[in-house]
Amino acid sequence: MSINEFKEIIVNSNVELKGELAAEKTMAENGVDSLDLTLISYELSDVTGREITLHTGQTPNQILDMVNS
Amino acid sequence: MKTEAWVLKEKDEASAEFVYEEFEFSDIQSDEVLAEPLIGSVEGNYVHAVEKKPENIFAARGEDRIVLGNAGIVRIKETGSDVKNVVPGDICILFGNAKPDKYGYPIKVTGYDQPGSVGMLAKTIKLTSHEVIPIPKDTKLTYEQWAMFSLKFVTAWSNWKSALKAFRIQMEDMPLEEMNVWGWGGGVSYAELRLASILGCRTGMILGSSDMQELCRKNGIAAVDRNMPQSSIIEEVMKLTGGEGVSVFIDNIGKATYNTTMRLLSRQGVLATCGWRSGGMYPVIRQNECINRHIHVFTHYAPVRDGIEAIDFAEKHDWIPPYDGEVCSFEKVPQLIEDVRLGRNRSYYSLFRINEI
Repeated sequence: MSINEFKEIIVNSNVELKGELAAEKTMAENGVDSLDLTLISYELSDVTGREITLHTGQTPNQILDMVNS
Repeated sequence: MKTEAWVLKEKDEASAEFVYEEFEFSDIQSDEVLAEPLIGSVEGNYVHAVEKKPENIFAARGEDRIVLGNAGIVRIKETGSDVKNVVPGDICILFGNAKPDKYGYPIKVTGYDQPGSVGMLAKTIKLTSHEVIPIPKDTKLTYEQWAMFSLKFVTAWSNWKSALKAFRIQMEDMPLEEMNVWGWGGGVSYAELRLASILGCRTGMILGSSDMQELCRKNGIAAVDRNMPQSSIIEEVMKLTGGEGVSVFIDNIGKATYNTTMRLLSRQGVLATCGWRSGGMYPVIRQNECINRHIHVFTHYAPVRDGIEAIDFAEKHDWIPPYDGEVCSFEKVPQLIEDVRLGRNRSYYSLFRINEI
């Protein structure tokens, strides 16, 4: 999964980011809270077919490493 | 019995199309009535049927030709020998609870997923006597308003009864005047908010259409523009609810609105749902819902007792659907349904005429 595909998942989760998603910043620093993250996890699990649990301390890069491993 | 009808047929894997042709059904039985549909109202089920989702209606019914139509008014032409509630000439709302469970709540809907049922898109139809409720003789409402009422207002009534009772489980003493009842734009939502407004609650709707925003404001419902960013919507609604959030939130959309809905729902708030326009699934964040003591209420249409109560309340309290004078001709019904499907309709209430009154 690429960063652009991950951004698309965020859009499909109906989560609104205040600015551009920064790959090196944590999800919390990107303005994502636990409700947003649960919705993103849900969408990501649906797309990948795997149960994926995220936390706000992860960065998008770390999430992609996990998804792509 | 033969009639002319807009018959829905499968077109491809993801769609179906209407064909105007002859349709045949069996003679009425002792508990059935023969009726002439007069004015129909396009509902969400038409869109579900045409798009064949969330279920393929042809597979669900085991039929390849379907006459849709679960809302509107009809005139009774003939009655079976056991029919007691109507006589020929009565004008009735179609009450689409085709197959109730033993407690009266609908399992299957007339003109949608009830196998063998013939809906409003035909010149003549037959119904079981429990699928019609007579309109009061000296009614204040127009026939068009009753057509709008038949599904959306009855659905709203039944959903509100459950939502309010659910709210009262934890908030027994909060006066209605202090309750904030909000919803996302839509015809059932509008009906439910008007009902809450008549009962004294503070009401509001989040919606895109400027025409409908005006209609809300004229009828005592605050309107917040859905096209704003989520943070602005939340700020505006919180301001209008005095920082309390929403006591009962009517969300008949689903996935697209869930995030904002949950952020606006007050502590001990009730999420009320009776429709599923956008996505049937969303995650329930259990810790959030437990800590905030939220209650989720799901309903589907109504038992007949709720239909009768709703009609009575409407007459006594002027709980009346809006009517802007537009009724589509029967010839143009497929186009009307397509407009509703694509969100091109100006109003939440889209009517069509089948037979002259």
